[in-house]
Amino acid sequence: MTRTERERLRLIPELEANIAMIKEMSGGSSDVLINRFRTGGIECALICCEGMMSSQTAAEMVLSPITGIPPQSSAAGLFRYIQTELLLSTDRPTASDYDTLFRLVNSGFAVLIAEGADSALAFGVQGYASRGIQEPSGEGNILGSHEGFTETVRTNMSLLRRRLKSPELVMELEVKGERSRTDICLCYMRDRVPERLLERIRRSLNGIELESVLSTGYIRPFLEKRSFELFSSTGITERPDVLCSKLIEGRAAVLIDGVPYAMIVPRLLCESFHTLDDYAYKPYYAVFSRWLRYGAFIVAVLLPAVYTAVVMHHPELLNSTLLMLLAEAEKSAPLPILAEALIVLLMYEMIREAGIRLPKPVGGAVSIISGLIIGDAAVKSGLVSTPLLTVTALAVLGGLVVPDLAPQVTILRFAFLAAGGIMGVFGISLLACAVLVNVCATEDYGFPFTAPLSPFSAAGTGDTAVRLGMRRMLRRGFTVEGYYEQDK
Amino acid sequence: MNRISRYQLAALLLIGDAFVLFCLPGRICVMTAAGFAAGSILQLFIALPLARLYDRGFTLTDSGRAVRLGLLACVLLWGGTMFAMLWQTSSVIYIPYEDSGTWGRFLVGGLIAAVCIYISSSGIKALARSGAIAAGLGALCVMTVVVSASVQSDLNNILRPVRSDLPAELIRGFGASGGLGSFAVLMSFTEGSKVRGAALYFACKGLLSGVVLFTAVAVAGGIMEVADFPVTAAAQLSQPFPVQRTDSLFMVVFSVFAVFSAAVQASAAEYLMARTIPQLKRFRCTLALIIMVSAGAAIDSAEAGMRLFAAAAPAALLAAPAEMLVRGGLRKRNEA
Repeated sequence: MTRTERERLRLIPELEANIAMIKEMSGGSSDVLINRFRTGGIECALICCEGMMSSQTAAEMVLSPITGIPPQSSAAGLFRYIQTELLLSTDRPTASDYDTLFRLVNSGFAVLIAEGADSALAFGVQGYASRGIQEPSGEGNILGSHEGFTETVRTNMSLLRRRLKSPELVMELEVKGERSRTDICLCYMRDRVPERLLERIRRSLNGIELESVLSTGYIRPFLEKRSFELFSSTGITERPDVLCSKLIEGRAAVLIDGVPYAMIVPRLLCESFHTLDDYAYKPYYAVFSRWLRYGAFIVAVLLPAVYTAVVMHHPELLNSTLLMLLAEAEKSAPLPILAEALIVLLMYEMIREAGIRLPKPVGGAVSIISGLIIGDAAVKSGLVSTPLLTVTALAVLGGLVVPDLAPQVTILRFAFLAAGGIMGVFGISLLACAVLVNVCATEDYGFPFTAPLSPFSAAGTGDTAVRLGMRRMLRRGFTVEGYYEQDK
Repeated sequence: MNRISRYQLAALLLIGDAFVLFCLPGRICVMTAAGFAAGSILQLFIALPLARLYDRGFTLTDSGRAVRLGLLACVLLWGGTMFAMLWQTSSVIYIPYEDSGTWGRFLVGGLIAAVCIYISSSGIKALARSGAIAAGLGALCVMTVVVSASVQSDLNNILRPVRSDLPAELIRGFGASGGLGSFAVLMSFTEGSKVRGAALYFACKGLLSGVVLFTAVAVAGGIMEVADFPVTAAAQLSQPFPVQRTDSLFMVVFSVFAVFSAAVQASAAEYLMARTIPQLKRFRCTLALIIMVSAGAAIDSAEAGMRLFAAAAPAALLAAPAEMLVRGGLRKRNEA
């Protein structure tokens, strides 16, 4: 039965028929529990999903008070009594169709249906097992909070609310996914977010027609432009404190139930080089680390390509000592430099992928095999030259400094390597032009991805090229609307 | 809305001007620097009527088809001249495979054209934003070359007797300003006062030409007789480090500027084609680039192409205002 069909089917004032329909729709699933009882002189049933609710809360807050209700003349009177006289739970939605009923049951609500009632009363008694709040694994910092998002959207909402107690923080919950019926939460600061941005995000979210929403990757394409963009114009964070800072700057965010990450809209390129620690340290050190990250990104993308281009096509650019050194090292390597560089980089990517996918205890063994055995053996046997291995290691290290851009760095590194190896510095320059234009063309919701660099905004450089002192930063009263440009 | 700022306009056009300076053939002297700088001021005055016209709400579609066709021819031919310049200058700047005959030249031209097609397909906003970044980085590299050149420069080179006069160099400067056709097109995309936009561009152009040519004379003045491309030769001579050559920096700037210069011409040609030949619905940019590459191959030497633009560049700026003036006069006469 499809969702639309379930929506069309309404509850009828016959308990037995309703129970039969619920059993039929759930296909006799073992986790759907139907508890029959009599209260207030009316036959009732409490429907819940095992594992999604807390049995203790349900017994204490729902079953115990409900069974002591004095006789009522009708089901409507019973429901009115529960609504007005009993405070069973703070979250008490009603359902009049089977789609809503199943969504509530499967979300951990206890749903009460009664003989003679054409609607159901639900009580929020959720209590499913979930991972506790832990330190974020991918966005480490030293001086900030050590709390990260979890898989439970409501916990994530509470993490935000704990940090932003202002009534201006709005969190709109809605359900997406024909089959998964996943809770999605749109968060924003009402007084900061540009109204047109919010409208267009809502429009994008309304356009989502998916069977399931299992990760951010399901929603992301609907929030971004359809044209080919190398870099993503929506950001991802697993830190509530980072998200709060973005919301204060006037951005909007989307939380998805089951995903310990939040999506931020819009995102700018420069933000990939920012960390929360930048605001904890003194400005001079923050500026130093920020420029270190910019440099590391360039090194990660271009170093192997420039090395290959110079050695293969422009050796005159090297000084004589370096030239002799490289010539000596490359003399014994059996493969052309481009092939050698491609193989070394591919080897690294395989090792990285193995490190991610393998169970953690085996991960250590992978490091030993890759670092000691493959690396050492490859150099000693003369298959790979030491300078090339050094260059590759430096590039890889540079990529690790900006983990946010890891997919782009990986692909661009290979592309630039091929361009540099085939056409030298000229090839690298051509590809750089194409990449630059692609990055500059990235723009969603009217916010250029390359702001504040191009289009240039002097006010924006206070937190990109440098990091101003906190007092001066606060005086700027910056919101992302400052970067808004009329859409194409 | 496809609007660009006047800074982005200036950046896009200055990239083209810098590229022309890099590829400038023949001897140069202090008078060349003076002629080019003075030429920029003169070009500003010639551009003012068109800028005023744009400020009053004029668009290129208001002008006659002949004017648009003339501008299109100017843009395409200048694009061709740029490709000719690129191939000529490649003889002193090493580009892999470029020296392997006609196919090598077409490979280089084809690669640039492919990138240009991609750039043009991304829209004028993306071109303007990336052009501003490229111009900024290029300015940094040019400054590095200029600073390192100052170490190598010899003031006696500047004091050498000059063999040409200001009017001749002024005309040469006009010949190197074929990009004024695309200036006339791009101005229609510019936000705010077009007069201020034009003033900013020509002021920067004058400064750029003056500084680059003056530095080139100071560094390469002694070898001017044998230097085919004096600015490129000056960049190759001015090495800031005693044991390390920095030609790669110049090579990167040269390649990037070549791509953006051609992309600006291709985008301008595409815009004009859409308004002049509306029947042509697709592949306008590709067609424009094919014409440019073919024109570049047909032009014997870049110098020959540039001579043509000594007259074509001011005509590109004056055509639309002159047409409006004539039309206004005719209307008044008819009304009378």
